[in-house]
Amino acid sequence: MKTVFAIASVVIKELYRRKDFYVLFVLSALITIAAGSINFFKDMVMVRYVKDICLLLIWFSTLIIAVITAARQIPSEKENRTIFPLLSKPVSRGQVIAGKFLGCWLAVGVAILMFYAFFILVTAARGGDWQLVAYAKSIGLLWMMVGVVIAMTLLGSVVFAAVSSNATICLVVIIGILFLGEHLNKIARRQAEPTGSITYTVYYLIPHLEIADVRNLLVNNKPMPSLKACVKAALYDGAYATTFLYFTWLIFRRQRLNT
Amino acid sequence: MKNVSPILMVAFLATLTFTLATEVESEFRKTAANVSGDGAFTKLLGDGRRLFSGQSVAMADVYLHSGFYPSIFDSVENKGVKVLETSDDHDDHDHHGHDEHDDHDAEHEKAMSFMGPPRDPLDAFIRNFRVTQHSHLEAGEQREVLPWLKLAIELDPQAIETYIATSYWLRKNLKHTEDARDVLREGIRNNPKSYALLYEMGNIYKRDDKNDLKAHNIWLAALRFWREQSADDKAETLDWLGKIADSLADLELDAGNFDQAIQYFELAKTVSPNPAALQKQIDELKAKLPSKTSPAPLLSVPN
Repeated sequence: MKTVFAIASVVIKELYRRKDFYVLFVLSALITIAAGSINFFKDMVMVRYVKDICLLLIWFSTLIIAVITAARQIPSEKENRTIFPLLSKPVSRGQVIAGKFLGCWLAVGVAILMFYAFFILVTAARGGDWQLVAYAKSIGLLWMMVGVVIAMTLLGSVVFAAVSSNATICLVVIIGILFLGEHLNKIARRQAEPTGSITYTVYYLIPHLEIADVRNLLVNNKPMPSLKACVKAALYDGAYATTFLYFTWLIFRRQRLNT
Repeated sequence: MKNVSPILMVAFLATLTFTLATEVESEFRKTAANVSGDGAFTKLLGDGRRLFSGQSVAMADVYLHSGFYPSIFDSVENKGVKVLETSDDHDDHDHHGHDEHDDHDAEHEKAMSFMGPPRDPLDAFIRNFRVTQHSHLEAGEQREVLPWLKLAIELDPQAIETYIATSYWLRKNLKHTEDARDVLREGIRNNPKSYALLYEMGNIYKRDDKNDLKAHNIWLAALRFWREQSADDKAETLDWLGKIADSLADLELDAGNFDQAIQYFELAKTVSPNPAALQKQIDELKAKLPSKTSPAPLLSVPN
């Protein structure tokens, strides 16, 4: 476990050094502040649209950071040939995968916390309610969902040749799931057989990342899901992340590294 | 080449920029004058901005229903979900029965029951994380729809319904009558022959300012513009004729001009879903006519 944490800490340091997070954070902050400073009909109490825009930017930025960070981990180790000294130490390929995943997951978790801190400040500045429990649940759900995204991208990084192709494919799949995932059952019901059954199977097989999307509840001040439901969602995400990491390890353990 | 002092170089560049700026600025002013009134969206997106206007109105709808709103997949299953409806008629003594309002509410509730029971266990689980109860914004929270409506106006200045909805929420829920009037003025500027906007403007003068004369003149203009439409357009907008005629009739009634009121009621009756109620009112007025021989001079029927 110590080895895994050591690899993870390197990944976290890498995120600090790179500019991706800072650029996305500043961009999100600027857009949110610009939107929040607009005075509609001399009424500064309107807060929902600011929350909506800010949360959308947080989701967008988090997913970009997660995919880009995870996608380059293993390919850059291979390209720089640092994978050889890493594996020549008493480090197994499974530990490399686990360390990379943990590092990305923790690093993105820190980014999410910073984004949400800004979100809470902006909401409070516009006179919004302090919904700390709701924010905590929202952060937790997003963080667990990002775990699946990172695991999926790591799997992609051992399957696809280039970082760019992996990142693009992963983003397309993730956006597709977020937009269509929960509606596939409705689509399946309108389709003729066997397409309907195939679509329904896909509906059950894909990781439903959109479960974590509780922005609508937050924006409209609706009660958040119960703790029990959140724990179930976390377990659901955990199961998918583990599955993706297992497949990553299955492919990576037999993969030639000097290609 | 002989080395030039950096200070001189900076001074030269500053002079050059200043000179060019005076030239460019005058050109820019000429261009800006031609496209005055165009917002950032027009500059950025051109006419393509209209594509996003509907999305902005949909966002206002989502807020109005506190996040409980059908997706495009739900809409296919439940056609006719129209939610951003604004009408002063609910509050007034119009000529639609109470049953009709009840039917309308029931229809709305039916349209918004798009979710139905969970289709499968996963669907049931996902619903823990979704808004599953239909409720409307209340107690002044309706203001939250305004940013999206304002954006929709920016994106499509020809969308009449957006001006009407914006002015309605401003007036009814926020009591910002002047802002509502400004929104309608902007709408009339962009759509000078819109009888619908004129009708709403008349409503503000009648209901908020109690200025019957101004309301009367504006509604007359609305009636004139309605009549100037093509036959096809008229056929599609008969309900507006009903509203305008009805309002004018009520004004004449208040002013004691029973003759003119009867004429407007007759006009409204031709398009009313409940002509019997109007006929009853016309009969009552006709019965009063002999005793009322000198109508007030304030309002007059157009030729």
